[in-house]
Amino acid sequence: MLILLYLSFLTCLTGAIEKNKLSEKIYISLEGSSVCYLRLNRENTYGCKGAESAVGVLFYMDNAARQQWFKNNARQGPYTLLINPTKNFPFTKELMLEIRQYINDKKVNSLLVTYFGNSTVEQFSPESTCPNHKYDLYSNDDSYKDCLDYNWNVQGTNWLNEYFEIPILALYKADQVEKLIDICWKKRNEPKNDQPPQSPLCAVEIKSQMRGAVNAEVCLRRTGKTTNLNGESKELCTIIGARTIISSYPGPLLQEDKVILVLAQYLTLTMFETLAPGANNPLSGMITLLAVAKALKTSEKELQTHGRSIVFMLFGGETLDYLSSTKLVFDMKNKNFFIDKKQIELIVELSQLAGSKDQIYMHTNKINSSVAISQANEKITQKFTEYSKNIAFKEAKNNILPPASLQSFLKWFEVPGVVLADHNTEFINKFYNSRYDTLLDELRDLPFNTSFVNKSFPLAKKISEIAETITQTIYSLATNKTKTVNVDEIYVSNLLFCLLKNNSCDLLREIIPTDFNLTAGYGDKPTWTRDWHLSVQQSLSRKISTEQLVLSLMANATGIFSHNVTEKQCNSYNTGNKTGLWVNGFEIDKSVGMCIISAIRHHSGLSPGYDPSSIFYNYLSHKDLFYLQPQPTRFLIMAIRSGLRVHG
Amino acid sequence: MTIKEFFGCAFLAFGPAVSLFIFVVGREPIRVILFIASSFFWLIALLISSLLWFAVVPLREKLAFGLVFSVLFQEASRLAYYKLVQKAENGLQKMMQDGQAGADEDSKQIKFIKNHHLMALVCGLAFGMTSGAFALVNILSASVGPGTVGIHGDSDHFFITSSLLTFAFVMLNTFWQVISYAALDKKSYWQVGVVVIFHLLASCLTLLNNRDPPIYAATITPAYVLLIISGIWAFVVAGGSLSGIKAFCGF
Repeated sequence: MLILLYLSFLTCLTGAIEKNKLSEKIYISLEGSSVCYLRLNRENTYGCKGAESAVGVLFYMDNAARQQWFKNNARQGPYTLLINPTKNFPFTKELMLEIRQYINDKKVNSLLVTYFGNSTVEQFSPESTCPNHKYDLYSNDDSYKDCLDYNWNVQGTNWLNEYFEIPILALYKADQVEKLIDICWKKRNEPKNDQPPQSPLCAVEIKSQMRGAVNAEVCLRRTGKTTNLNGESKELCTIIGARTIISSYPGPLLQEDKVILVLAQYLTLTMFETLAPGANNPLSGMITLLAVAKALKTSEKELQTHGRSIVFMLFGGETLDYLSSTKLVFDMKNKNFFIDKKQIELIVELSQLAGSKDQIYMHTNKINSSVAISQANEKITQKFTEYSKNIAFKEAKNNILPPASLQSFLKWFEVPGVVLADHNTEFINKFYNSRYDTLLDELRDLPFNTSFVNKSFPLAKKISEIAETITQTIYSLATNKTKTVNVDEIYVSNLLFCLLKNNSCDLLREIIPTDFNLTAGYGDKPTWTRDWHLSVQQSLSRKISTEQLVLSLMANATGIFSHNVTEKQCNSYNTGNKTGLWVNGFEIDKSVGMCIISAIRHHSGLSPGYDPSSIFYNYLSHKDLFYLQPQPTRFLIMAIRSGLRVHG
Repeated sequence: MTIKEFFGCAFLAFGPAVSLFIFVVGREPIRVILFIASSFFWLIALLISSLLWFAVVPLREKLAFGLVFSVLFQEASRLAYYKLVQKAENGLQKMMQDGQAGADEDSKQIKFIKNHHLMALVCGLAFGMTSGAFALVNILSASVGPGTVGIHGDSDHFFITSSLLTFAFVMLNTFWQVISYAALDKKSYWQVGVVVIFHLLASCLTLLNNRDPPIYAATITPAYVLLIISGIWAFVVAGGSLSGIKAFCGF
């Protein structure tokens, strides 16, 4: 018996070895792909359908002539299209419409898109021309809904809100794409003299199975089911969401304390899960907010004597129909939040701020607002103009608000509020919510391997100046006094470098919890930073959680390093509204760790519509959760007899 | 296309062997028992070969080393099985007689045990089919697709060559069993030696497939020449003759 067992073990072993060797003759596996996920909500499916195994003949499309050839002569399908978008051959809506036709005809069964940074394209945004318009302040207003007068995001293709019935992957490693083109396209599949290539052709197999389907309700129902087939109930879908990170000076200590809210966002949503640099939108706003928070640190006492609090909020889930702010407003309505609506005196939101050269536009809502609010808004915008220096703060021409979390608050109650952005009536950012929104051109002078940036550069200078104006205005609005504040330009430089270029740097290392892993980037991508992609709400104890990083950044910006506190004391620190966060600290050689004491807190950003019995019903809330990394793509030669698969 | 390739290769390699099994072996339970026992002996040879390969670490990468010893172990197990069957012959006969009350000397089973050539055929087929299965099963599973060999410019004859070789080895093993059992019966040991040399020759020639680029013709041609020689030899050993064929065909 033992011998038999050993024998079967040995045969398995030898079998595995031989098969590997053989599969090397058949397949090449490619690295560096990022998959487009499915997203489900109550009614619909968005994103890309997965496939257990989609096999298609490779066709490389990088110019219009090939596109034409493919349209007229390609009959050896189904195909996998490899598209290389360039300035001369942009990935336009028209091209996608053509591909959709191919998908319907079953001529194309998967799509690969290259991604080599934003030097290759001029503009691209998969977001709609009017982001989040279904759930914004004006959705019930016939004359303003759906951005009738304004198209914020002119180049928007709206693909983020569409459903594709094929797997779509982005390939971001140049050498791998080159290998594929060399071996697969040039040697085999490229039509020579306009003649179709001879069999055998080279095909691509994509494995990216997603287990959820139909819509959120169906997916959740299936998750709970135990069937004969799966044996145990498995999680098919997990809810999308991200925590709202909050901090304050000094925090509303009394019921009658007035509050100024400063808002920004920290996550974006792109077509591909791991390719979300989110530089201008939303990180430029977040970095400015952190700079403002840091500059106001010394003013805590004055604020307290004036009975004012400044509360900073960073929202995660805003790209999906204002998920986080809606949740916050919902909780505020139900008295589940530490601030009451009556306390809010003013809301300042920092939107995209890195795009313009020397001006910032102030957007206020002018539709259906009362005289008192209009006057208050005017007073605020005047204050901003008053404190502006080299960078002019101008009033925007539009009378509706651009996409902003402020809209969620205004939907519920009237409050003075201003959105600061680099654009007037349409975005300056040509890459809104896309994988190209990197701002790397602005950072090109900074060497990649720096751990500390000790000099300023134009973008940092600009952000610092904007932050300075904002800080002084907010201080003045809160206390009616003027005070010169200095924004730490080196801090801003380092923030920009760490968050947009290389996140393994001193600043971040100092402020993260001791067990946190910074090197969670993906090598060979155009940037080596975290992915600022809105997905499933992660546990904060996860060592690579982006939410934890933002929490640390906020704690560092609004808190103080305390030297004489042990780890135990730090973790149980709770005085007033301040808590401790145990981090690496800057005395890194001693490897002891330090405690940051600040007023940080976080608020769940999960949709209130998650509970099916809830009355609060119409929210985008779920996501398919085949959350294992999809299997790597394999490429292979496949023998196809021409004529066997002709369509039409 | 790859599915067709799979079935083509599978039938090419195992078609004749399976028909032999159905028409010769499968009819009598005693033959099936001997068949299974014989394939177990081939497996023991494989076990010993792999143990040796496993133990001699420095030579693991050298295919020729493992191959030569594997051939020798296979031949040894062929002889061991002969010894076993010889010892068991009387017992088997008895069993047959006990099983069929009043069975006479001429009953089918008894005839079978007395007909050493037929028994050798059954045992050789088992040897061949087991070795063939082990040689081809991984290749067959890869041939299902969706891809086929050739992305790096390898010859697309890989699968058909493998199947042809497997077929040749299944039949060669059958013939060699017939030859060597007859030789052992007659105690004419040089014939056994020739079989071992034939086996070594055919196996070592497959090493040419390991070259880059592989020379498939150089492997297949001698393997089939050996197959024809061994086939005729086995036919003669088993008492066949040209006039026999003529009589069979009705000339």
